[in-house]
Amino acid sequence: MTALGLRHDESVTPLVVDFVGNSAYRPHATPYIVDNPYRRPLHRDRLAAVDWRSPLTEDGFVSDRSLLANRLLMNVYESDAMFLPVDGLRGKERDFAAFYDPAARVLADRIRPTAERFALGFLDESVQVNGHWDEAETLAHLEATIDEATNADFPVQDAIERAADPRRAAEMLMVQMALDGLTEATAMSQNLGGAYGAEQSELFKIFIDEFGYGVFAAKHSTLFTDLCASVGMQTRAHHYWFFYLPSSMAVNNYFYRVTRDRTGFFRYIGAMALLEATFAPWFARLTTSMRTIFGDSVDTRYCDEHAHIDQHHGRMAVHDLLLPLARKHGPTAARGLIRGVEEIRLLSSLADADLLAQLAWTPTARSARSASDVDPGGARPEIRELGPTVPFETEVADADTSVDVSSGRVDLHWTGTGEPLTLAAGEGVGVPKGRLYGLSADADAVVVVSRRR
Amino acid sequence: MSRSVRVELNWPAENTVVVGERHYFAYDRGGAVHVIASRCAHRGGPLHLGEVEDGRLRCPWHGNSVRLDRLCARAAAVFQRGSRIIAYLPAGPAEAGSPATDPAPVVTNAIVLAR
Repeated sequence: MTALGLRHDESVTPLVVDFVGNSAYRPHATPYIVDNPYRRPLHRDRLAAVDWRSPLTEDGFVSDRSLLANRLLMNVYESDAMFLPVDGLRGKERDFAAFYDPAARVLADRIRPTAERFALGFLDESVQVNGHWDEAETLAHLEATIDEATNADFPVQDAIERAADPRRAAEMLMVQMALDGLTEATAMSQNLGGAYGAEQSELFKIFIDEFGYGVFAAKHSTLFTDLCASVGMQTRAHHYWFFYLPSSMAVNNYFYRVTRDRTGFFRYIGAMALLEATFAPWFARLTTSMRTIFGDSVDTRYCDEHAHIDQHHGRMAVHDLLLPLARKHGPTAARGLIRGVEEIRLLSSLADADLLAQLAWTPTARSARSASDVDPGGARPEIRELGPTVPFETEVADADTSVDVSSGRVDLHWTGTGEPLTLAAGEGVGVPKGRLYGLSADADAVVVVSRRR
Repeated sequence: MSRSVRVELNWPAENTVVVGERHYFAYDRGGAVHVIASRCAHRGGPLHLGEVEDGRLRCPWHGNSVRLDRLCARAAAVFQRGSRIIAYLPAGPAEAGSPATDPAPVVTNAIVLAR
């Protein structure tokens, strides 16, 4: 039973449908959201079909259900944070009112526990922290984990450098980073209030670094937008909404989950400490990749700042925050801290694998498949009509999928930037299981989407 | 701060750790693996050869029984991910004036009746 009286096994579908009915989440015609932080399309019918009583498993973490649930959760969380359009509110007053509608907030609070359990509950099974943890065991495990992480390879940076189109691959990485980069430290701000001793002040020290000591130009999110702008990418939240991978959103949602629920405090500190302690070499390597790919014109101050300040944040988060908490609050706190460390390590590795698979996929057109190539054991082929008035949507292929154009011309989108792959009638494309894609057409067109043999 | 010895087990193929004269066994309680010192508080009996009944582990020597939930709560610090078990066992007491050293832990598979 949740605090709000919902049983976890109770279907929240009617509440989800109500929530999605909010005009801020209405369908959107084009692949990008232009300067409106409240517009975050949610697909009502697909969300209504989710069985919330069957949570995701680790094996099913990269799936269409995961994409839908994490988008929903993201809106649940972020509608509790402050967003204003960069160019002002004029003309967007209705979306502002809808996004922050108090009735929608009540729905969000009722949906949240079940949606969290659905999207992230598998962590309880996948990560186990047992026995009696004291400061010594906590420090030993943390040191070993940080050592392992900081001495690991950099597969994402290696992949974007080796990609068929390195620029496009680097931009897809930045699209994923935008989830946190544009709202940096919002989850952290949730734990600034209250009263919990000297550790509260230690967290605040890290927070003020994230916020550039009150200087907007030095705020980490400003440095991130400068990075994006320097390579010609859009900087408004959430311009690339349709191209967030489910795993990237899950990592972001995790931090909201463990901060919204105050019992998750120790998990939050553990997860945050691990990232702060391992970010410095990761971002230093990213600077090298960015320079290699974009040359001297790229503004890498965001990466450079992390490469520098996270050396300090790692030490501060571990020795001034995490260990004192373990010492002061005992084994239950220590178990929570270690759980947070391991949960974010697992989520990050799943997110890396998801992104690497997306980066490795370069769709190419081929002749359309015939009906005999369709998997007879799979679902019936779906015939979709596309056109300029049909809302845009992205999805994750839950099986190896074939998209074949029957009439018209169709664009396949698979990254947040770059030209789509245009398919003419009689052409098709394979979408590997787990990959994110969207279809659009400037004029009327028909495609057949089927499970591949 | 007390010291600890880090060991890694490939569960369930490996179910036992021996550090010098200290013996630990792995016990699965509802999917959560605990690494428990196999030494009865009464006369030092081998708890890993005891029987589990009604949530209690019965020592094979003198029949003393202890609640498993309490035994697990006092067990070694364990992180578990799939079959990978990392445990932190308490280090032995250091001799006065000498550096603290422990025998290297031996991870093995042994007969464990306590299941």
